[in-house]
Amino acid sequence: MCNTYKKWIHLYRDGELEAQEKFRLRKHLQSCADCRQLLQDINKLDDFRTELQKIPVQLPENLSSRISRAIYQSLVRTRPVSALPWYVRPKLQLSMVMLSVLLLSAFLAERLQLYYQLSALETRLAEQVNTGAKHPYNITAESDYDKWLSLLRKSLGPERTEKTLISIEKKLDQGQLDEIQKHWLKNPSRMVDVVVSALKRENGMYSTQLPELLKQF
Amino acid sequence: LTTTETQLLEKCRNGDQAAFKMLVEQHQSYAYTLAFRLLWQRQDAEDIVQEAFVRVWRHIGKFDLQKKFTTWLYQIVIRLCYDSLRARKRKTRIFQDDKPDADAFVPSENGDQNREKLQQLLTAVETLSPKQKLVFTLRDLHDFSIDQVASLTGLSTGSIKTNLYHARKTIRNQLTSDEVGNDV
Repeated sequence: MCNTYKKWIHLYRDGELEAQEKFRLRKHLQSCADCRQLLQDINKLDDFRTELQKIPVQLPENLSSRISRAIYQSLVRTRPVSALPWYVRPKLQLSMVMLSVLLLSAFLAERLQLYYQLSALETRLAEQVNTGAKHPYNITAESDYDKWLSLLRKSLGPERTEKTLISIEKKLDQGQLDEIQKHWLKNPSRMVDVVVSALKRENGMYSTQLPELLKQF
Repeated sequence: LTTTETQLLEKCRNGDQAAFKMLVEQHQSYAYTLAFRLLWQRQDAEDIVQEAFVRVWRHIGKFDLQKKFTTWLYQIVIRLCYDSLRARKRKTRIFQDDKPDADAFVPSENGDQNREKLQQLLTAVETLSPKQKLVFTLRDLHDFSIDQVASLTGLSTGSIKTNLYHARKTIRNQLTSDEVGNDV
């Protein structure tokens, strides 16, 4: 019996009870302590509800800008990678920068190494002249130049060595070529000497071709 | 939808970020209140509202302008809060440290008595299951009708009534036991 009224109490609280049912509920409440207790409890629940609703809800000051930032980030994140120009694709950008740094470092290291190698050769040459050698052409068999050429012949073979030397010759002027023709068979070490000095003259410093040429050694 | 709101939504659909900012400013307050009263944690509520608007922005192209925007927004907020409540329940089971704390949103000048009372209320709410909390908050704190709660949560009216009944009963029991505890 009470179960029906208990349900009605909840419906009453929700404002969903018909007028006739309300009348019957009121009559029942006069005689039933349990249901009166339930109604009291429900009223307590209403107080509880009111107390919870009173808790101030303060909107965070920066919420809308935080949302805007999140949307901007989601735009960047969700835009298809192919829709972005290549130079702003984050991963590609990083790879390009790293590759450039790598290439530049390799290039500079090579140039630096060549610069020191050639400076060392020049110094040795000068030393030989200063120490009374008759002529720099008379470099001994142990000299660096001979070592270079023997190494070249060993690694490329006689034919390719000749071709390489011819390609070097193309960089030289007629006077230098004559010089090479004159001395080539007599003293191959002279060849390197002439090439080095010619290339140095070519653009004030070492030629841009020099690394490539020397690579073949 | 009013013409102005339709125009605003239309602009948002075309990727107008300034229009979207206006939309956010119009609706953020209620969305935040809703999230806050479901979670009773400021930071979580803020995160949920942010995520809800990001989702709105992403999917606004699919939104039917004939429908009510607020219903769609609240559905998203409620779904996110429900997921968060379930995750919190799992976490609380393990760590026992993720409960709302009255100190976090009661000014200290309001005194210990107020804070104690508020902590009591929050503890009572925390005893509810995520589904009960959802239904109780929407029906009893936000005064949505049963049909509106059904539309917002996707629950059947039967399930809503049952969960509401149990939620109210649990809170009543909790409040009564607190009173007994205080009397003793």
